[in-house]
Amino acid sequence: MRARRLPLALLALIFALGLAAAEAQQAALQVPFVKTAIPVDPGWTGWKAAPAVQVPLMPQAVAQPWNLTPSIKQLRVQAVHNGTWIAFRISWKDATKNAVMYTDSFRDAVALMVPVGKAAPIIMGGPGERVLILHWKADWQEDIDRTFQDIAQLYPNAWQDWYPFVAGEPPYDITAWTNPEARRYLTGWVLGNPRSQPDKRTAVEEQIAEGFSTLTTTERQSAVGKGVYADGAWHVVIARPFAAGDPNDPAWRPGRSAPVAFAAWDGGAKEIGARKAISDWITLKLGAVGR
Amino acid sequence: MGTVKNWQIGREMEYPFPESRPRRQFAAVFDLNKCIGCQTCTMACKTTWTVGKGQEYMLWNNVETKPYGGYPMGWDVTRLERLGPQTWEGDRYTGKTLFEAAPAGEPMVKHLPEELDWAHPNAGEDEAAGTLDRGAYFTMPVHGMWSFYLPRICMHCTYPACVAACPRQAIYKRPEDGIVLVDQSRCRGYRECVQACPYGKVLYNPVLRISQKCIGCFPAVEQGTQPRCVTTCIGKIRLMGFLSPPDQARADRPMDFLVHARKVALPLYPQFGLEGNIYYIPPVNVPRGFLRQMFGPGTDGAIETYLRGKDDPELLGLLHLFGDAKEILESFRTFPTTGEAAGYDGKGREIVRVPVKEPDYLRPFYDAARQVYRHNIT
Repeated sequence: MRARRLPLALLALIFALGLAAAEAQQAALQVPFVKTAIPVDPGWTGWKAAPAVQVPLMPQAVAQPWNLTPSIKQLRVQAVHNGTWIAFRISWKDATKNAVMYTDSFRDAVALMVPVGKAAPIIMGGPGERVLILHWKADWQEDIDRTFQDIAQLYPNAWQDWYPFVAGEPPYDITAWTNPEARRYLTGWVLGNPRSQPDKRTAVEEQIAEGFSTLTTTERQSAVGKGVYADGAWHVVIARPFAAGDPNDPAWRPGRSAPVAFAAWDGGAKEIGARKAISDWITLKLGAVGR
Repeated sequence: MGTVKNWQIGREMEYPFPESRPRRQFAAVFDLNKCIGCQTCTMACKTTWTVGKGQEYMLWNNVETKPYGGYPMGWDVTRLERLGPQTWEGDRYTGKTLFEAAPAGEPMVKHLPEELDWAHPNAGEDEAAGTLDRGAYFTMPVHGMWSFYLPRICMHCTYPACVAACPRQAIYKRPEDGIVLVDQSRCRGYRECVQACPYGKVLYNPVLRISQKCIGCFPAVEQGTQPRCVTTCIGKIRLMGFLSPPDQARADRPMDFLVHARKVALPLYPQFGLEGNIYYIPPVNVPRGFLRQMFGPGTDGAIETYLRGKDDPELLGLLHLFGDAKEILESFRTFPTTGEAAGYDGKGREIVRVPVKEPDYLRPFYDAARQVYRHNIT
């Protein structure tokens, strides 16, 4: 699999550029200390005072499938911290809200990536160079804001007389599938796949990676977030404690600098997985904890 | 990109992973001359595996009417159109496979079926290829007006497009039997596999938000039992077994005999380059051009062999073992003196024995005891 991704030389070049960029501080985001609790809300008034940077996005053309013409060109990013938690507010223009997935449609999403150690390759880390990835998904937000997107929500006119081993009445809401014989058919849910869980608590999935194809959901989920779509744009807050007592805690802390990178997906353009727009590393300049 | 040997196209080809054949390869032969499109296989599969949430539209096994049917709609013609005209030279495919025709940044030619493409599993059912001219009647052996049923499951390919396409490597081919599975805990619903599989046999579950596919009834296969779609086939058109690569073929093994020895069972769209492992005995009454595009250059030979089957006791014997046993037949034998065929398990124990030809009974037209005339005297 590795061999097909791209010639080794190109891989090495991108690797080197990624590391170099992190050191060269191509762009920096001031992350002020705030004394309050930070609400997980893109509409919080405190965001008005937070500095912002425009983060340009590039095509993802390292791992297959490539996305040479990404839909989202740039993100507006802000961040604040209160000594314990760091929160990002990420905004971007998107003409369509894509929060529901049918068999042929995809959802909007945004993610940020931080090295667990001092630095990591921009290509989702590398062997032994782990990154932490916090991934907000519009469909998870929809599950939380409205209700889990079951058949009755996805296809209001659909009718199913019966499902084996399921008691009750149509439309046989998925939460009523308590019989173990019935639950066998809900593979992803039973196996703990976060995508398949009807009772989502946050729209952010916390994950680690050591290179492409290695993305793994962490056992401990410490990140939270919320996205709001308004006036042709998404505004998403992603927040996490600096230290969650997790071996995957990044080396970020107040008063220091830390690299962060972003990726974004436009579901309307059928972007998902590797079909994404990615940023280079930018530097977070975390303010010291004040009084 | 690596280079692998694909015997179905008579040459090496590009594939993202190195060649790694399983210890045994799940395979099946479907005799299209015998399929009546009753969908018993479809219902057997449906009621066994796809009665969960988000699986309402799913048919891991389906039967479509060719030339117009397709589930998802146009699964075959979309790929043929993307590939464009391609060439064979004898048994060697000189055109491009779906992997070799890949656009930059993609492992193969892909196509994402639209939502509505899944909504009409019966589209084209029982529709013939053309209209009947006034006064036309069947002209054998090839009908001027024709159609046939094409039963389909996952091909459990030697070079699966779904495995090649998954950016997460969440799809794997089991070394013990070659069955291809989607890891339901690792899948993230990107649907690269749905777009990659030219046979349209990976399907997205919109409730669980992950992709699912035919699992080759692996819990049955692990117990030495043939899959549900095979054992429930009332037309006895199917036989499942294990297929060897051509250089290791043994003529007493049912799959090897049909695919490699007699070459009467052919791959479906071998030019796609996946080396699928469901093989078809082509229908004898369909124009050869259509069949050659579908089953490759072996079509004419397969039909001739099939039509000569009455003079081929081994072939006739094995065809009679289709649908006669629940267990997987590891080997078979025919007994010309008794006119029987028998199938055996892996330890050589006889599982099933059938007469190849039923004894003839001739009864008088008039039954004096009952004082009735018989409608059927044989």
